[in-house]
Amino acid sequence: MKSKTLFNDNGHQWIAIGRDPEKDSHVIDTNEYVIISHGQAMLLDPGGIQIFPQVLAELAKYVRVEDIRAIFASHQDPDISSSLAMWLDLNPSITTYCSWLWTGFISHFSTGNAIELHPIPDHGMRIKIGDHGADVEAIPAHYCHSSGNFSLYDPTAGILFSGDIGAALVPSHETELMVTDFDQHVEYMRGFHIRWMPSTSALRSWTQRVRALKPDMICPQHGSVFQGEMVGKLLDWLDTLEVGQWNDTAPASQPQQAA
Amino acid sequence: MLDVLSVFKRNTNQLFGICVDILNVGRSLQQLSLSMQILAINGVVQAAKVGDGKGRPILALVEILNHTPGEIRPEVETIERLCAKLAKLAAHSSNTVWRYYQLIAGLLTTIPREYRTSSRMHADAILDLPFTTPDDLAQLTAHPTFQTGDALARSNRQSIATICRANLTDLHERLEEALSCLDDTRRALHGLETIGLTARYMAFCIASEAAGLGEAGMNFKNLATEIGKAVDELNAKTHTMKVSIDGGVEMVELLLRGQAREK
Repeated sequence: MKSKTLFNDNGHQWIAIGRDPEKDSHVIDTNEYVIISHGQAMLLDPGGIQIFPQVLAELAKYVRVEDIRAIFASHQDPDISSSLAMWLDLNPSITTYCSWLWTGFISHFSTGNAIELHPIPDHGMRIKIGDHGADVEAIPAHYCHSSGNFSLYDPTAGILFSGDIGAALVPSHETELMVTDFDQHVEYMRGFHIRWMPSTSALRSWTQRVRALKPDMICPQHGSVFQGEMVGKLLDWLDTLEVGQWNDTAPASQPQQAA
Repeated sequence: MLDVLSVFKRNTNQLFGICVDILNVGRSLQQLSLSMQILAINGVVQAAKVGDGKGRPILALVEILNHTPGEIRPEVETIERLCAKLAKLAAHSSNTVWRYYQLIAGLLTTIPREYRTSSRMHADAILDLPFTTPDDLAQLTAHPTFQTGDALARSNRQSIATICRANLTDLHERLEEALSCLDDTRRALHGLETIGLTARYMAFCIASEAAGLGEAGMNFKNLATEIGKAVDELNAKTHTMKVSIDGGVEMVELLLRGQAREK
């Protein structure tokens, strides 16, 4: 597992963990992010159980496990948080935030003790990282792709964690974490969005909300990170997309890993 | 790196299967108890038909036999209760060993790659430990490899190791409980065997009495044969359960020693 610091200023850090060269080929590649704010950490989409040991080992380079104070789950998929029970076993004082729609479902990831979740209302909420960390904001991203879905915006760093929006199925030879060639990257994103995003109008609403935030960086859960001018290019591209498409007359598609 | 622990984890999961085997056979005893009840009622009816008071000894015997199902039922209920407890312990153990495996894998991954892949004998030796006993964990945490890296890495390693230890202790406690539960189930089976012996003896007595009844004793001879068959079935079932229990005991004792069985 590799990690990269995306932002580091005045005791506030963003670290991306991903691009695991040793991961099993049948498991979709995921990015895990951690915000460390004045020594207290929030994990964003901590990942599936399969990659827990690798994520833990990489995370342990940056923060004490006792200082992980919050987990944010953008939605309910197993690649997002099936490792949740493991993190709570490591540190039972972690508060986990997810859409109210999924609290009863994510609780099924328990492996013993009941998982207590802090429900995020549909309109979103502010979340403080630990006792004295910065505030971050859960931004509604419903139907992009899950029916109860949130992005997370960090105004201190100007970074938006977008979950599956902007996600890409990047070939293994693409090792660069940041998007450098947008046109090439679109090829990795298009199929993903057209099939997994169910609602064009929901996607348009999301881009509007995000444009108002003016993020410097957009970090998806799969694929590469958008920075600087790539942010605008991503939002413009998303505004042209008609998603939720499936043509049943087309030849049978190859089975793909789910997002 | 974690080959033994992986089999150890699988063996712990297999406990659940053993427990289901015991429970299924245990439940089928309820049906057997019902068959015995029908045989006993049939015996009572037949004995009442025999005139001149000649059926009286047989009537007394089948009435004793009539109590057998009532004696089997609580024993079967005890076995069911023990199996339910065993299933709970097996499920808890499966969850714990699964978490433990992931945590150990995480802990070993925190050790720098050069120590994990180097040909240095001391590093290789420590990472080849099975990590199925508290002693293995103690060896790891006392090893110089464990102390590599900066203060943060060392502190995190220590924290993860503490949680690993807690999980392993919890697993051992549950396995000890499972062992005692298996012993209790074995004892309950012994009670069933005693009931079977009594029923077989009653069948033998009925057959003896029937011999003195001439033609009228034929039905009782058949009844004795059927009772014998029911007891044979009871014995076969208790034997199957004993084999499962023995397998379970062997497995749990193995796991408590930190060993694993490939097949």
